[in-house]
Amino acid sequence: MTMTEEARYVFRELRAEDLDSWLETRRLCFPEDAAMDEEGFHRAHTLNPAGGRVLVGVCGEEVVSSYVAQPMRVRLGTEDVYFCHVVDSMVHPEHRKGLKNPGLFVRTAQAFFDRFGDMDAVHYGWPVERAQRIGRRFLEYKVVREELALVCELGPDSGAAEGDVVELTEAGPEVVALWERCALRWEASAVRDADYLRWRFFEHPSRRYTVLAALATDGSLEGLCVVGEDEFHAEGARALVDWLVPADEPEVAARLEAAARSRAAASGGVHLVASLPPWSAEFAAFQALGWRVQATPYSLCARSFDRRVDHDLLSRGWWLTLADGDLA
Amino acid sequence: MNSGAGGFDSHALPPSALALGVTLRAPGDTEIRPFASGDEAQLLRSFSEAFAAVDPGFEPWSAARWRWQFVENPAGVRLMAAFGEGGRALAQYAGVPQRALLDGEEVTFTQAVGSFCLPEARSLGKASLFVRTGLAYAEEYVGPGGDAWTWGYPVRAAQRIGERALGYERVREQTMLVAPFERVTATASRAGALEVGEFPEEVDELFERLATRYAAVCERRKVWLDWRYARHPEHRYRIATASSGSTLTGYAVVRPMFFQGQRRLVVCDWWCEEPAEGALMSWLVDAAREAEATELAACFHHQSQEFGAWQAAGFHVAPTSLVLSGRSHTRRAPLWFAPRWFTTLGDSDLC
Repeated sequence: MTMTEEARYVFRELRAEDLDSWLETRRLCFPEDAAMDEEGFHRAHTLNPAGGRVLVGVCGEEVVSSYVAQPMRVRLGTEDVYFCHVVDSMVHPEHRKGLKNPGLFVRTAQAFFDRFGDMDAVHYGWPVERAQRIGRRFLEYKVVREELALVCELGPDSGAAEGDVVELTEAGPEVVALWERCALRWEASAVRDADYLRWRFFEHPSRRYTVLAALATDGSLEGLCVVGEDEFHAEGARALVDWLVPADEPEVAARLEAAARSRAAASGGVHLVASLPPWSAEFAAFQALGWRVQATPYSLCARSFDRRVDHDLLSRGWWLTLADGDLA
Repeated sequence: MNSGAGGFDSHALPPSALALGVTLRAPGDTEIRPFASGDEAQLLRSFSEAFAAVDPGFEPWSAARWRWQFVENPAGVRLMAAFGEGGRALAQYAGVPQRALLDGEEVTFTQAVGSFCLPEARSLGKASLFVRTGLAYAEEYVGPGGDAWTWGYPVRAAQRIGERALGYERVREQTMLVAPFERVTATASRAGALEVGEFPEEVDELFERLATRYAAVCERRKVWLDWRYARHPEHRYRIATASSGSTLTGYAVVRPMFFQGQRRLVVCDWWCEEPAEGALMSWLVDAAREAEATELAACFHHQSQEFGAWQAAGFHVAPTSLVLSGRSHTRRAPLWFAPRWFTTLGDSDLC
């Protein structure tokens, strides 16, 4: 590599005037994905109530690489920290041979860590195998676990009468109170509050979700789950994207699980798929309700920037559902 | 087995041979060399001393068990040791090799077990004696043409040290399939089950027939299986075969033991044409009842046919404390092994 090649690239945070170029580079890098427009970008990266992290490599005025993460506000003990889900990281096809050892992707990531590493406790994602190789070799990512899916078959009679399970179109402070009850059992968990639900589900511009709430006889919130209405990775598959029920409420869990199956079947689903931590009581409880466990091609990988968060905590204490990623 | 606060454990992985660049000569009269006949007594004495010091529950091994584990393995010996004054064994780096097929090529996988360094030897020289013994091990056994894959289930403390200093990488969080025996339903089968004391000759052909299913698998031939299970000097395993007509279609190996916090009938090995072979599944239930074990448990990789078929037979998936870690000595990264390597608990020394 010559100094001239090195000097071609500048790494910095994304600026407003970069956006068109960023979107075009994304289109080139992910031709199989639906093109993202400005609204989609802002929705994903600037309207997130936990903030945004977009670092770009610029050559002249063109965005040629990017490392991007969506922060989640995570309760760690009594403190809130940020775990960032790495998404949309890319290198322009014409610049993939621009730098060597490390290449442009790694340099962009390193610039990202330099800029944001001290703001975040953890960066995580589900990289493809090739990206995993780069991640472990250059970026200190480690495998937390192979992800497992819980799968349940849906029939025409799936789900019992929904009873006092209702569909929500907005949420209030009762959601965070429910999450706090659930989170007592977890060492780390992204805060589920009204702002988060609005950004993640109610106002999602391209995906359709049904937020189901189990209510007590006095109308108070006992449990909550989110069903994705769109196809999830396989024909007829629907995702149980989020699940929030106190572990000592098996009756609420059974009622809500039945309602989720019913809702997924009504939307044309033949399978309902969830991802819950294998160490959790819920993982066992879903199997008792008839769900089966399947391997997936995904491995959860993470890099910790916080000494309190080691891989044991990530693998055995972090409550993580499909809501914490962008697959559903 | 765990050396706990001792700093390393029986499942420590060796440093890469490529890391060599230091002189392997130890200070004073210390000699680092591969195991040689006549070393047994010194090595067993120090082995017992090292593990007893850090594990109150450690039960001393008999000489027969030690020889069985480290010397009589038909796949060979993996033992490098440091000897001090009077021939006292100060450190050991050891493993249990097993022949394996890796993308159809015959190679050796080695589970790292039984490594230790006595407290009196931990500060000898610039690099610790343990590390230097490990480097010598790597040079002897792991370099080009040597073992293809070194692996283990390290305890938590060793996992951290191993990831930081020895090149461990996580492969998978091992789950187990577990069921109360009353919940297990065996599917109808044309095969018949027969309990045996040793493995039949036909098991070699059975291994070859089924091994093509997997990109990576440790060999399950008669010579290995008899050593591993039939000739274990202390553990008593029960072995059953399934046959359809005159054709061997599978086998199972079990042992009642305390596993993951509970006494269970552990399915140490399972190698069957049918992933939930009904004849053997019925035998498992009977064996659990006879052993007065309320639950059956088995470990497979998540992509195996068994993982799904056993759930259909009534098993649930539960977490364990085990993290499978490894270090690859080929171009395949450790993560390559996770979905491709067929494993049972009997591939390790945990049952």
